[in-house]
Amino acid sequence: MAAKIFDDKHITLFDGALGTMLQTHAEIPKDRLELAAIEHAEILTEIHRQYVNSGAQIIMTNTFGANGKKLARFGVEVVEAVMASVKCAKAATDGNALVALDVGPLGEMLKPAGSVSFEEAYNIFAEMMQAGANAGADLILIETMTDVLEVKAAVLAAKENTSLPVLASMSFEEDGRTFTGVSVEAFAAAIEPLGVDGLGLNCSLGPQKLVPLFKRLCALAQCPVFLQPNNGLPNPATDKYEMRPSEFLEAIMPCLDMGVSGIGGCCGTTPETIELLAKTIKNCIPAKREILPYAFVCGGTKVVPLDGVLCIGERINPTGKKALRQALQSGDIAAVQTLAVQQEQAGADILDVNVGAPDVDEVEMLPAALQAVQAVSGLPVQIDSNNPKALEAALRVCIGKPIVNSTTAEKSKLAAILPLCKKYGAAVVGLTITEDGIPMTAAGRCEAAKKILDAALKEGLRREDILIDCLTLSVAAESDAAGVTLQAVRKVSGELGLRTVLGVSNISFGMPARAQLNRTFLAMALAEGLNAAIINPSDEEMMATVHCARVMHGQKNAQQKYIELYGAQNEGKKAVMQPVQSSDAPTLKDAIVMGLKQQATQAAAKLIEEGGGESLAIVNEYLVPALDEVGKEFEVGRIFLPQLLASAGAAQAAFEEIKKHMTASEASGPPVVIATVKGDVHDIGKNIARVLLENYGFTVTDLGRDVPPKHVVDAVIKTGAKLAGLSALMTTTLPAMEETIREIKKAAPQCKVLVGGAVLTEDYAKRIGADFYAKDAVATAEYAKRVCGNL
Amino acid sequence: MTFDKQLCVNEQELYKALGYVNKEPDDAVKQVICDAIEKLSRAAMPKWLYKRCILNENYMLTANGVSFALHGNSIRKWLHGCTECFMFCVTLGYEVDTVLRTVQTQDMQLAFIMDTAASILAENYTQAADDELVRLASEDRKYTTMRFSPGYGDLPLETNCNIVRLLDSVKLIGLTVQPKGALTPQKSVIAIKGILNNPAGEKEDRCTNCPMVENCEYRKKGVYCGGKNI
Repeated sequence: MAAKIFDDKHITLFDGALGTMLQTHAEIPKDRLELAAIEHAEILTEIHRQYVNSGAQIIMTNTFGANGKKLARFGVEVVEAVMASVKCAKAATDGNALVALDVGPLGEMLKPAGSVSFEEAYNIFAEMMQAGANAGADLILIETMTDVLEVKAAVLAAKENTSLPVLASMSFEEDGRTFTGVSVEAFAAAIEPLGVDGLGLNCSLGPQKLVPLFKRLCALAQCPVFLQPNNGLPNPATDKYEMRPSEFLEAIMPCLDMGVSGIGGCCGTTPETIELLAKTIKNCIPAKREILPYAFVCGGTKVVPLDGVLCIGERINPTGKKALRQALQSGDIAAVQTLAVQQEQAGADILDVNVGAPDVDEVEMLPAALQAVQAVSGLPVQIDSNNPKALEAALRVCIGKPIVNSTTAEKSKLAAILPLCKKYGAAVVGLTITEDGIPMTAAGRCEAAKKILDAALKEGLRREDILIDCLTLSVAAESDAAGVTLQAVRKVSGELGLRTVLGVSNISFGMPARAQLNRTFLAMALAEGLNAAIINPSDEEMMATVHCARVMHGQKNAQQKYIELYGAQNEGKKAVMQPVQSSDAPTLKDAIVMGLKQQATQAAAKLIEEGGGESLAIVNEYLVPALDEVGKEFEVGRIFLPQLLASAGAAQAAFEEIKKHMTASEASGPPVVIATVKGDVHDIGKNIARVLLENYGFTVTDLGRDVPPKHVVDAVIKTGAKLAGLSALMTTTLPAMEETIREIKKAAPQCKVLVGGAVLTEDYAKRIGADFYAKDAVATAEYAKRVCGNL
Repeated sequence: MTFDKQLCVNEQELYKALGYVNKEPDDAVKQVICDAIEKLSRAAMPKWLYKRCILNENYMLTANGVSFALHGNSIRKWLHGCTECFMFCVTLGYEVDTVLRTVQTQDMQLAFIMDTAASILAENYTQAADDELVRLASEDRKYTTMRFSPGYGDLPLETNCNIVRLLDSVKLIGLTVQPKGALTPQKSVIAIKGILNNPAGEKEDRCTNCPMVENCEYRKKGVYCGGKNI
């Protein structure tokens, strides 16, 4: 039976620092502290014993850095280090205290900041935790974390590989965020729902500065909360922590009134600190906490309350979007990132991510798309799929607390989806569809909502995490479609007290002048209590309705935002970018050369209209020569990279306009694969090259950075590319470049390989088997044209 | 540790780094440059750390019980005569990396300019840290060499892994290193400064030990890359 860590009858006392205590022993090399259990077991056990004798009820093993990554340099197996450490702790406690397997960060960042994948992190943690459980640890304490995704990997590893209680603790800076920008609130929202037995804050700060942050945690977390501050800040000259135990105690005392369930100390604390704490809290019980059930979702950095009027951006959905569908089918997820950022900038609060399309493997693509979105946006996401396997794959790697879109009221769906939401702590959208289909009355939809609510509560989800979609049918098909939905929204909000969401634009499907129907329906639904609208945030009229509704509802800061957005407008007029008068308008070529995006788009549109839609001719007669001219100016040093990029941006905008009139085969130019090689994360040069290649009409598959040779080879074979471009910016990753070239030549001898990067030279490129050394993006594009030809 | 003063990117220096050596950018580019500098200053959260280390005759560094050897002839030449050195690191933080990634999806021109500006800003903060170490050394009537970073000359880039461990930078300022030596956050610098009893001799050109010294596009334009090529 799992040990009981916290209760309402006493405050659990953790031990203090181990690392700083070990460092006081001169015979223990400070760069081998992780091996103390193997090399200096007696000293380690004695330190544990001192903490037990001081009154600590939980002792942490000396395994903070005992993961596979950190132990690799010693040539010691994780199992050996963990078992030895648990043995020392258990010898010291002798059954009088619990032994916590201490799990610290890996020491390398997970993607997208670093290069460690979620799966790799999970496996490393799982190895430690299995060893700890087998050795007899009583619980697992994940601590000193700064990346919430890393915490998630560790918590899932603990829960899926052991049956031990799990505690999770993060380290925050004075501004209430970790180094990676995670707030206290985001930590609570993302990690508590995973089923941890306690949430805590530790390290980084002394008690004075940590206690105010702890107060914020206490206001949110429904599970027990604990606190382990440092012993103040170290003296920079001596690295010593100089706070006296009495000072530590005085500074930490306020947390007793906040509802703390567990206290201990981190770096610099000693058995004396713990002994003083033990005496002080001996007869204390955890104070009652006022916890208002919170309702919010969060991404990497942004916490979004589910109250008020919300905009869920709908644009990441290949349905009806040819270009996005093609991009997803070829595995190119950069398009998803562009849509994510555009929607965030347009005011979306949450981003819906849907990759369902023919020939797209959702199980593979949905997590990949999600990770791509979260690499460029800190907004919460709504994971949109009917495929439970795809949903689970995405939920595992999702940063923060997402929404799952969706389940229905059908028993089989509820059984498939709700357990996933419970396990991964997601909120859920429930569609009011039953085994009998879509109820055609408001009462019927409300009944379906009740079924969803009951099933969700039974599964252990919170009421606050349920959103009901009362379904939007087109008024073209059903004349009372709007009325039924609106009444259903009113009933579900009023009678069931649930939050509601709607995909608004369905209302006008098949009708003329769709925009005004959508806008009106949205306003009516918001008046009935709709919480979240799934819309295109770039639709200014729809967003204006959202902003107006927020003002009407008296939402905090809504008025200020409204004035900021619309205050410059005259009554009845909208500020728009005026099209350039035709007599002043530059030609397409000039617009590209001058780097004028809007003018390039307009010029392209005009040419298409005048030329009767001869898209390919426009590209070959206007776009390409413009780019060639700009390229030449760059090569001779008359213009520089910023100007080249401005022209590339203008060409890109023009090309997007032209592509609307191209057939699928016309729009697909010769395939090219590009990547930054394994071990390297620098990619701006590659990305600049990508822009130019796309300008020239190449279909670029960009594999991103830190790409293993096999992935490059697979992409070359899949796309039939005649050219692969590899980038490396560090001397240490040149061997990976050489290996990649070798593998490409073996598997696809017809494919030419171009290399680029600051550390390369023409000679070196030849030596490692490359066909071409590109000194810049223009040279890359020129070579690509020679090898593959233009459109 | 944080810095006392907020530093910014000098526009003239940025113009040069972007290639505008003998001329100024046009107004459109200047506007983008202003935008880039402004976005960068909002995102940057610079921090730094240092440790004073003992250096023995075998170029074994020791500080706080952590020891490792410095490999290669370049660093040994650089630290010749030193029995101590400063090991330090500077980072602009994760938000800069995130903003650069995001901007690249929208506007490559802005992204490129921001990236260049961020490298210059990281170098500026590194210089501020360097100046503070010179001041600290002077309190003991000591002098320092110029700074030298892993990747210069034949000092392996993987040395970053040992330095990160010695400085405990992962825990203290969130600076990590990948197995091949790349720093995360990307706009970060690690460097070594020797401590001398007497003023350093003739100052070496800081580019001398860079692997790109023969082919550097920046040197051809008469500007310093800010260490971004290392």
